[in-house]
Formats: sequence, C-alpha cells, structure tokens
Amino acid sequence: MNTKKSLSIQKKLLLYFLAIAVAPVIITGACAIYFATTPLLYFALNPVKNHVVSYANHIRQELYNVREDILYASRLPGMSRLLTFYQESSDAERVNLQEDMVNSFVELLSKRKKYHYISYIDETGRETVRVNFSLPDSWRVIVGDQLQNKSHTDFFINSIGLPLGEVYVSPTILNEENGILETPYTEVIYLATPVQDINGQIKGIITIALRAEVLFKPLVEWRISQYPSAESFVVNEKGFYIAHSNSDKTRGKQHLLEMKWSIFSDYPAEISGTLLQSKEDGFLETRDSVLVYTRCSPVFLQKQHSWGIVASVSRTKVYRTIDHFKYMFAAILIVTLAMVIFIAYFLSKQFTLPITRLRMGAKLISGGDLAHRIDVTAFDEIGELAYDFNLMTEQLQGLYQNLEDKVSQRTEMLQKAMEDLKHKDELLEESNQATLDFLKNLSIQLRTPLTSVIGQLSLLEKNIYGELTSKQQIAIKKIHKNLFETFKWLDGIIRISTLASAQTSGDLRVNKQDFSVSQSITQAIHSIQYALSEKNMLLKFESADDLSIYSDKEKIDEIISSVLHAVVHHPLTHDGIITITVSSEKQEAIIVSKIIFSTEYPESEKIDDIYKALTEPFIHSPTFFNITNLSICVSRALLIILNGSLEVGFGKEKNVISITISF
Amino acid sequence: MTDKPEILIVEDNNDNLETFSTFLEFFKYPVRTASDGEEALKSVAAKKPDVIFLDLSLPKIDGWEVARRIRSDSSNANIVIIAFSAMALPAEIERALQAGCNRFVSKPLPPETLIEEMNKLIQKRNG
Repeated sequence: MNTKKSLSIQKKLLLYFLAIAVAPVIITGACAIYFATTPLLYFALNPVKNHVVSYANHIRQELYNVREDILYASRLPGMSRLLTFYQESSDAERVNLQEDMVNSFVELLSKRKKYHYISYIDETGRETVRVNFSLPDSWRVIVGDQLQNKSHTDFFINSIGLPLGEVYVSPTILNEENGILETPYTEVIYLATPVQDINGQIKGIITIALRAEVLFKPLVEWRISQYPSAESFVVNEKGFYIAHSNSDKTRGKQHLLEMKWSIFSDYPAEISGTLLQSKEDGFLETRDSVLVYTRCSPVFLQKQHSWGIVASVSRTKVYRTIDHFKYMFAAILIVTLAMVIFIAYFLSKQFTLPITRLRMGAKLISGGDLAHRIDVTAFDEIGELAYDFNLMTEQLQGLYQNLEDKVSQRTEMLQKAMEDLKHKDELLEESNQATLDFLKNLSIQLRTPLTSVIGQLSLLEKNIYGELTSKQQIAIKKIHKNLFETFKWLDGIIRISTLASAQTSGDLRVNKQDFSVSQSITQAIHSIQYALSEKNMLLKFESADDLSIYSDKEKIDEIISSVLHAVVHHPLTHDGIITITVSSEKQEAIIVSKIIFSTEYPESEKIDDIYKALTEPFIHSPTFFNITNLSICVSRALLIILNGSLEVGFGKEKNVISITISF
Repeated sequence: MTDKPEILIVEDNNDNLETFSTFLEFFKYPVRTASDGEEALKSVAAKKPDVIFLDLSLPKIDGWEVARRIRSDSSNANIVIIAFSAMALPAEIERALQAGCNRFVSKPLPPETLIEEMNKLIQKRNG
C-alpha cells in the first residue's frame, strides 16, 4: 500500500483553525494599527482642540458681550437725551444729563467689572462723560479738565464714521491717558460705536476700554491636563502675537512690533502662512510640535481683525499618546492571538481527543489486548464509531477466545501426538536397533553353520571321506552351487536390511583411506573364479591405469565384489566375456559384459530381462530372482553412502551390458 | 617331521573345528585345536604354532583379547594369526587387525580359503 506521510488530524485542525482565526486577527489588527494613526492623532489632539475651541468661544463670547454692552449703552434713553438736549441745556441741566449717563455707566461697569473705562466722546473727539473702573469694585467719574480729547485716537477716527449699530474693535493696545501710556501698563481693547440724537444726527461715539486680560487671562490660566507644557497663543492677521502663554512672547508695547513677537520667528514660513491664511480649524505638524489652530474673531470683527488661536504641543508627547494606543492595540492583538492560538489548540485537542482515544484503543487491541474497550464519552459520530469498534472488538475477542481454545485444544492434541510420535519414534528406533541386532545375529547364526556345511562339502568334494561316484560328485557340486547362491541371497537380504536399519538409526560409519581399486578388483576376480569356470565365462581385466582412491576400502571391496557377482551370476550370462577397465581420470571402473544368449528366449524379451535384473530393485519372477538383483541393490546402497553412483546401460550391441561405477 | 607350518585352530563350534582340522590334516598340516580363548593361550604358551586360525567369538576369553595377549609377547611376533568371524562388520574387523591379527576372513568360508590366505601371509612374511 502506497501511503504518504501526513500531518496528524489534530495538527491539520490546528492549522485550519489558525488559518481561519489568526489571519483575520492579524490583518485586522495590523490594519487597525496602521489606519488608526490619523484618528488616533485626532483623538490625541482632541484635548488641545477643545482647548483652543473653548478659548475661541470665550473670546468671541466676551467680544459679543462687550459689543452688546456698548450698543446697549448707545441706546440708553439718557444717552439720547444727552445727545439731543445737551447743547441747548443750561449748565445745571447739563450736569443732570451727565449724571444720568454716569449713573448708567457706573451701573454697567459695576455689573461687568471687566472694563477699564467707558466714555462718551462727542463728535469733535472730546470726552464728555467718562467713568473709570478699578478692581475690585471702585469706579471714578472723570470730570472737567480730566476729560481728554480723543479725536486723534484710532478708535475715534475709525468709529465716528461707522453706520449706526456698527462697532469698531481696536487691536490690543496699552492704554494711554493724555497721550501717555498709563502705568502700570494696562492692555486694553477699545470698542467704539457711533451714537446719534433723536434726530438721527451722529453726535459722537461711545467707547468701552476692555481690559485685554479679560480675554487673554485664560490663555495662561487654562491648562490642558494631558499636555501641561503646551503653549497657546493668539495671533493677529499679521502674525504678531496678541497674547501668548509664554509671557516673554507677548507684545509688550504697541510700538515695538518686532519679528521676535511674530510666529514667523518661531515657525517656518509655510507653517506660519498656513496658520494665518486658513479659515478653518485644523492642525499642522512641524518637526518638533503639533499646532492646533482655530479662528476666534466674532463675525462682526472679521472685517477688521482676523485673530487665530493656536495651541502648540510637543510632537513627541502627541505621538507618545498615539504610540501608547498603538502599543495597547498591539498588546491586545498579541493577547487575542495568544487566546486564538490557545483556543485553536484546545479545540483541535478536544475535536481529536476521541479520535486519539480510538486510535490508542485500536493500537492496544491490534497489539493483542482484546479486553480493552474505548471510552464512549459522547454519542456523536466518533462516539458511535467507538461504540461500533467496541462491539467489533468484543466479537473479535469472542472469536479469538474461541480460536485460542481451539488452538489450545489442537496444541494439546498435537503435543500428545508429538509425544506419541516421539514414543513411536523411540519404539521405532528401538525396533530398528532390535532389527539391526537381530539381523547381525541372524547373519552370524547363518554364517557359522554354513561354514560347517561348506567345509563338509569341501571335504566330500576333495574325496577326504573317500572316493565319490561321479553322480555323487555332481550332486555335491549342485549342492555347493545352490548353497552358495542361497547364502549369497540370504546374505544380500541381510546386508540390505542391515544397511537400511543402520541408515535409519544413523549407525553408519565410513572409514576412509588411500587404496588401489585395481587391487580390490583383482581380489574380487579371485573370489568369482569358481563361478566363472562354472558358467564358462572369460574375464579380462585391462589394468593399464592404476586407480587409487581415498574411500572406505571395505565398502568399495564389497561393491566391486557384489557387482562382479551380479554380472557373473546373472541367469542369462553364459559363455560370455566380461571386460573390466578402470579410469583414474574419471575416477570410475567400467565393467562390460558381453552376453551370449541361448535360444530359450526371444531376443527382445531377453534384453528387457537383462536390463530389469540389473536396474530394478526386485523382480517378482521366480525365473530371474537371484544374486544379481540383490548384489546391485547392495552396491547402490553402499555407493549412496560413499557419494558415488552406479549406472547401467547397453553398449552399441544389444547384448552388451555396461556397468559404470563412479567412486 | 614335515615342513608344513603348524596350525592352531581356535573355534568354539565343534563342527567347524572338526571340519577345518580334518581338511588340514588331510593335507598333512600339523594341527592343534582349542575350543576357547583360555585354552588357546595355554596351547600357545606350551608351544608356539606357526599359524593360528582364530575365531573371534569365543567363550571365556574372546578372540580379540587372545590376539592382543599373544602379540603382547614379542616372541610371538612371527606367528601368523588369521582371524575369522561371522561378524563381518568393519568395526570388528578393524578391532581384530588392531589386536594383532594379520588377516581377517569372514564366515562362511571353505577351508581352502584359509589355506590360501595362510600361504599368502607366510610367503609375504618369508619375503
């Protein structure tokens, strides 16, 4: 099975969760941090903006209030009477008319407490009625010679020609009395409006000298809590500071309009220009500071002056606030990410926990622990799978138990059978040994009496017991021959049985030594001389090549002797020629027997019979059973033990048998 | 007196003993017999034969022990001992040769074989 290496389900789930959750969080967080800079800047500057706006409102409101007061004063009935009837009145009446106005002015000053003085100036520029006010609550009516001619003043010149209801507002200026700066210096703003009599004739102006500190005191007093070191200033349309939170930069004297009291000395031209020209609220950033500005002139003043209020805060501090927010965002983002990762890990763990349990359980079960059951904690799909798996395992356990019982039963039977077999094997071994012993004993028991029989026959044959008749001699020879064949037959059977038993019991020993095969052949030939002469056969041993081998001499002797006996005692070999050759090169001996057939058998049958007698282990035919067959069997058995071989074949002529013994 | 070697036949089977002795005596060999190992040793001690036909399966003292004891006496070195036995197993043959027998012939054997083997060995001994 071709399987790819893969991540675990838990890891995959974790990755999916992270891909789904973390990416949006990171993108959102990063975008929020990136795009929040401007709103955050606005947010950071909000207190500053509030400050300047509040301050601008304050200035506007104050100026409106002053404007209302001066217009109110211009429309007082006493003022109208004064203007209408002053010229025609007597001195006493004039005093009364003036007193009415003084009372009205005193009332206004006492009520407002922020004006330096209020005066009526006739159309020639001469003060007619004037009341000064000093804090905390003292007023003084200026009369007689103390009344001044103000015809040269800017406020008179600029206001006398105004339409009724219009108010002139001067720049901030140090108050002068009789052409001399009042001491201590009192910075004031003059507001003036023309007045008319009941006939609609302009009869002069009313002037209110507003103490400038009323407008500009908050500039110093009001502090921005977030930016305590912030500087604020009011600048006029030319760029000069009208008021500044830094007292050093406030214009001290109206005739000393130098650049050091100008925004141009503190800010680049571009910034300064923007501050002066901008009609809207806004902010500017310089290298070191952020400037928040707004216009503060009331509408009625806009034709005459354009005042702007500017608050300057340290850029570092502003951005520190922004950075603080960014860091806070980043911290929140990191915490969120950590939480997301933790939750993703927790969820993936939770999701895969049943699968892991199932897998571990399956591993234990596959490892052989069929008694193990997987905990089914919930009946979802995995739970059902685990339940089914448990059922399957239970069935498997049952089957396995059954199988084990059967195996155990079979093993027991097998063991018993093995024991029986072993017992039988032992019995067989014993039996084999007994057979071997019996065969050995049989061989001994046969050989000993046979020795006696053969000996006695020899005695008879040699006429030791007296002269035998010719028939007796023939009978003795027949007995001798048959006895010899019977012995060979019995001996062959015993020999084969002995070899078989010895092979089964492992009681076969091979004693190897160097010896001459040719010599063994010569000895074997000697032992068959009697048979050769009996069958009138000729044997040629062409021992041109002396074959020496390293083998078991006794067994080789027996093999050669057995093969020669097999050939000589073959029932069909008569009057033939046996030729033996040896080859040291091929390590073999070849025994060739040329058979001269009698006329008793058809030739084809004879050939088969000859071959069968030499090749087949046993022939169940009384005609052909003899030493040949047994001897060949013994020879083959011995050659197998010695790792040799015996091949039987025909020569070119069909009556020539070739037996090749390879050692 | 004859120049034929004097033979001691040691065989517990009386029939064989009689057969061999009859055969040998017919051919004028001086023959002595013994039917067990002890008797054989006494006979050798009494007079050393030229040849001993020694059956290996003997009562009292077996043929291997008889051969070993005869060979233990260096004066018996010239005695030709031809062992014969029905137990023609290689181990037993080897044992017989190691005990001092000059030749081993397995039963059954015609008496002529013994004479042939004896003649070969004597011829060989005499060089």
